Amino acid sequence: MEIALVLLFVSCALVLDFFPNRKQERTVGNIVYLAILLVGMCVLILHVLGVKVPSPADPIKKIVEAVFGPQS
Amino acid sequence: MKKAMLEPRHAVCMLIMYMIGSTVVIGVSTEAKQDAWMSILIATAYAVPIFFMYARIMKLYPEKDLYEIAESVAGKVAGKVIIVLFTWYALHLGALVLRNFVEFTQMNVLRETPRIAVMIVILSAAIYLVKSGVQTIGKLAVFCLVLFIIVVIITVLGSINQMETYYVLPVLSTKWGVMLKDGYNIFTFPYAETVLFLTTASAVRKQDNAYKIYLWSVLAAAAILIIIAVRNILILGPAMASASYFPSFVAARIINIGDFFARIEGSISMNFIMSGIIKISVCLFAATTGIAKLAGITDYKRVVFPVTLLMMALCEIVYKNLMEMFAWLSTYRMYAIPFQLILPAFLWIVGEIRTAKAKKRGLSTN
Repeated sequence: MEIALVLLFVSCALVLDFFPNRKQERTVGNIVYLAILLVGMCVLILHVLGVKVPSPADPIKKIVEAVFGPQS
Repeated sequence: MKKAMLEPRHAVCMLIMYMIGSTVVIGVSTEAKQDAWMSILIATAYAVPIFFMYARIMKLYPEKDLYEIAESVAGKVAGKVIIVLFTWYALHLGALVLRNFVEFTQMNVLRETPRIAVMIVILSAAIYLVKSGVQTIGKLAVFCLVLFIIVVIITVLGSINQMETYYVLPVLSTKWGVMLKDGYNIFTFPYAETVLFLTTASAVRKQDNAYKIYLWSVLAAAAILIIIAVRNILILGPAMASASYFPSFVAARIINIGDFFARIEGSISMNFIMSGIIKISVCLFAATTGIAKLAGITDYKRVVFPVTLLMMALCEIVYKNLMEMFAWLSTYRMYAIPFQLILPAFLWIVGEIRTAKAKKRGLSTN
């Protein structure tokens, strides 16, 4: 169900947003668009499939604690 | 074509909604208990000079956004680094706020609905707003603020029969150290998060007073937050108000006037989500304009969809559960320092030095 929702969102992005405007944008812009879309889609699908995707909160917490000490 | 600008009253409403957005849902101050109102006042006192710094940055670089300011202050390479940092902060903050609202919705209203479905609904509104431009966000903020104030008045009046005045006593019994620390927590979340409003600064007219915009918004937001905090304490008591994950929602659930006016929390939660949409939209706007600037894309609207998906992915992986979301607040108050204080202070100081030098040069040539 959740994978279907992600794919639906990506399809909407491609059909309603990317394809109608791709000729107005330079190649770099189109590559950036597709790259970000791909990264977001992969992370979401992996997460839904139960693959443990590392959270940015853990390294940030480690850095904060290394600089300011343990936070409570 | 004439550039669409943000009206000062729209900017004020946008800032107020931005500040009260997620705070009203997850509540403020946990340690000061019945003196939470004092912590909010302390936080406001911390916020005013910082807001004046943000306003000064807007004055030094009129009709320029945060990213243009960063590039003109720090040059191409260092400017890009600053843009990367602020873009990350906007994306991360947007994901954190989105998660607050998704957890709130899932815990209280839509228990069986998949998290991604709730995210898509909230983000669809944010996509529309960001694609429509910052002026539309400002206009919606006016409507949402009026609705929000009406709801606050209704909940305060409707809960008078449930309020116990002794809950706020003894007044100022909390140690000052605790209140100052709590004040700092409230300063970092939500007040100083308004640093991202600088990404919309290019839409604020040169002749509009940025100091007034910031000052009015912080005073109004403080007043609303104090009313909400005191209402929650008077209804729930200090212990329950600080123990609840969503105190405003729990307080609204208790409202019952003669079994006729009851169970209004459902409609109130819609109001909460609308305030969240404003905050998420500003974060999405900041992240989108940052990524467009980094990639050299002239129209930021082109990348709204993919950045939204990225925010959704970040929102999904950022916390494992609700407890972790609330525990993160202790890390956040330190994590936010570079974005809310250090980088803006750098932009301000360099801006002041440059302006002083330019003035001096101007005087010597005259």
